Amino acid sequence: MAIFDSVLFRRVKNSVGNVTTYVLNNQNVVRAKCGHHRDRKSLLQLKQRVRMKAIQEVCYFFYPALQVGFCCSSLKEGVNRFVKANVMKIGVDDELKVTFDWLDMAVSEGPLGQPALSAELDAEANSVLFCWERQALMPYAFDSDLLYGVVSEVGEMLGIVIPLGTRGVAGRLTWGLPDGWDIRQVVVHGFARNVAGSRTSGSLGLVAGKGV
Amino acid sequence: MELQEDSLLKNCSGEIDGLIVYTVGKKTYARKKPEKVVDPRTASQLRQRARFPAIQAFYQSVKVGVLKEVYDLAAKEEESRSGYHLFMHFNIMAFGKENFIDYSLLRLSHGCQQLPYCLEMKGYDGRRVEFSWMDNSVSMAAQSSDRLLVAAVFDPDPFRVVMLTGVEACRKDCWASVELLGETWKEAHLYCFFGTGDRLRFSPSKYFKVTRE
Repeated sequence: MAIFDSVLFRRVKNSVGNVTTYVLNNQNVVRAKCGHHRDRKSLLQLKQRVRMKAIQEVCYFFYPALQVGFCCSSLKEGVNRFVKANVMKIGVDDELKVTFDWLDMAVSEGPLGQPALSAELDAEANSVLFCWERQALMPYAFDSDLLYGVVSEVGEMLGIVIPLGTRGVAGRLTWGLPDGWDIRQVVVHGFARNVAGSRTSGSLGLVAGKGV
Repeated sequence: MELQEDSLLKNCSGEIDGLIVYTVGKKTYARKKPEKVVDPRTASQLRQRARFPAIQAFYQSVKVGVLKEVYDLAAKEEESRSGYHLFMHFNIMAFGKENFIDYSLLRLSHGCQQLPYCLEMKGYDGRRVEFSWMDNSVSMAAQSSDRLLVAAVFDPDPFRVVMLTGVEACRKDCWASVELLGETWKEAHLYCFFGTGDRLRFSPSKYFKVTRE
């Protein structure tokens, strides 16, 4: 690998023959292409591959929440940040069996304080009841922060993001599950986001159905 | 480096080929983009960083009441950039790490009106607090019709300042009784100041503390 600063070739990208150039940290970098790929099959490497596959599958159910929860404009960035936040929460044993807790998955990440938010599943009414308390005004916890609930049916359906209310006013909201949703497979998360949409709180795993 | 008045980049802000141009107030500056960002994380640096989110949280409750008018007017008088910047300038040193606030350092009001002489708290009977002062209304900066205003911070909500209602006293009255509502507080921090009837001029504030069992 070499770094060059040429008057003729500034910000050159892509490959010519066996040479690849790219820009990294405002520097032009040139290097030779890899001629030989290794495929390590150590236990650690296999575990990591299983873990990555599992987190991608988990991530699918939270797609609608990722851009809101991670404050990004593209789904791709949201997926990347979800994977980064959660990949090490996927447990893989020596027999490559995957274990994880759905409520432990973080659907948001940020410096804001976590909301005083709770949720209950009502199997008879087939609905989710959200309750949130008014919080004192503190650094990283403004009255105007918006609260969100994320309801996911981890069997088949994509999750849904539900705007609840603001941190400065206590409230309750009953949200009926859509047709075809199995309440035993429902997982509910929550988080707060500022009005500007630039910062979020950490994620709260609120409640999970009995079948999860 | 400050740019000259006739510069092409006057009032611009942004980055041009490694040069950062920014405008503060009425002046435009240009400087080289740093090649390496240093993050010292010393104790004093961390303390200073913690002050900003704290004072911004506190300002959230200031900006929805009369205190915003007070500071906006004071900023015009002192040619500060805005009431927000003047509030930051006067109060940022009152805040510290881990939500610490030195309430005695807070200046919730600022202006050219005078405070009356000998403004003091006479007592608290468990529901109402009494203030007394001497009438010094002899000039435009101290009119007999100036109204007493009281801002308060109660300890269950340490970053929220509220204006107490039902305060009708004027400077000429030399006495006021103010009701402190709420059952849950143990400490109340009170800031008394005076404002003209048309709310165009205000005095600086004076701090009092009330404690109850």
